Amino acid sequence: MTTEALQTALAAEHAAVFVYGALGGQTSRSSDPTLYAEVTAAYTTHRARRDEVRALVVEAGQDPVAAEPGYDLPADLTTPVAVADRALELERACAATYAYVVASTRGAQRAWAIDALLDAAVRTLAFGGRPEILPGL
Amino acid sequence: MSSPAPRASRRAVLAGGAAAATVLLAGCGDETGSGNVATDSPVRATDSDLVDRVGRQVAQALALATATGTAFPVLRPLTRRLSTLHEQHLDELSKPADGRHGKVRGDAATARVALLQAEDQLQARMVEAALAAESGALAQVFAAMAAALAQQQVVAA
Repeated sequence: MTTEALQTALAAEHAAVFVYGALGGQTSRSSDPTLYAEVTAAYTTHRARRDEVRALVVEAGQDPVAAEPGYDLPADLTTPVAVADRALELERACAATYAYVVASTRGAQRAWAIDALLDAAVRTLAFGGRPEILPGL
Repeated sequence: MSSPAPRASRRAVLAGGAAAATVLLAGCGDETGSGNVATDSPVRATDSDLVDRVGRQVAQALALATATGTAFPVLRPLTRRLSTLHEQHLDELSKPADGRHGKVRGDAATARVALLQAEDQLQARMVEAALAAESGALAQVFAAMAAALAQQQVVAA
């Protein structure tokens, strides 16, 4: 169960890195610097988390799942609203994944997942999300 | 292309986990279905203690938020948001609100700082509880509560 949850988290992080890379390419540093900064920060964070969870999987003696060739993106990402909406959807999905990992792990792995859940929950606010009663559930 | 995360199916899994936690928190989670937490189960007893402790801490936070809003109307937008969240979390835990009022000292600025510090401490205790929980479903609920508090800290900043 633990390894399965970590592999699920790794798959989600592969997707997050891909999607944020695409969102970054659609975000203007000059015309929307706040969104650009948020997308860039999210990309950096998820790339680091991908590497962390991959290490956890290896530590658990498993082969890390590989990234897919591509991931779903909206047809139209030409507006800041569309970019923020996709980022919000992604962070909510990540929060749900981390909550699943929290429930499936213990110790250092659970601590990692809790930290990631808190970060994703806070990040949803930057992309237009509203505070929730139980983020990730 | 595949979807970034199997959200729908995961949501269903999480719904099951949350439901299990709710059952556990309501004291209906023992295998016999008798409606009480099994007293001879050290695992369940530990988690029951955790729920009691966290419930008391949330109730104290609610009391402080209420008292702060009463003492300083200018802070009510903040205290209302926090109070509502704490009430919802107490409801999740099936725990009552604390009938006592929290103590508020100093002026509005001091009270605001004290309130947010107390919220920060509550978040840290939620994380500790999530780490300590034997039940994965309960750990998930505590972690989600901590995440909700983290969101409120950002909104308040």
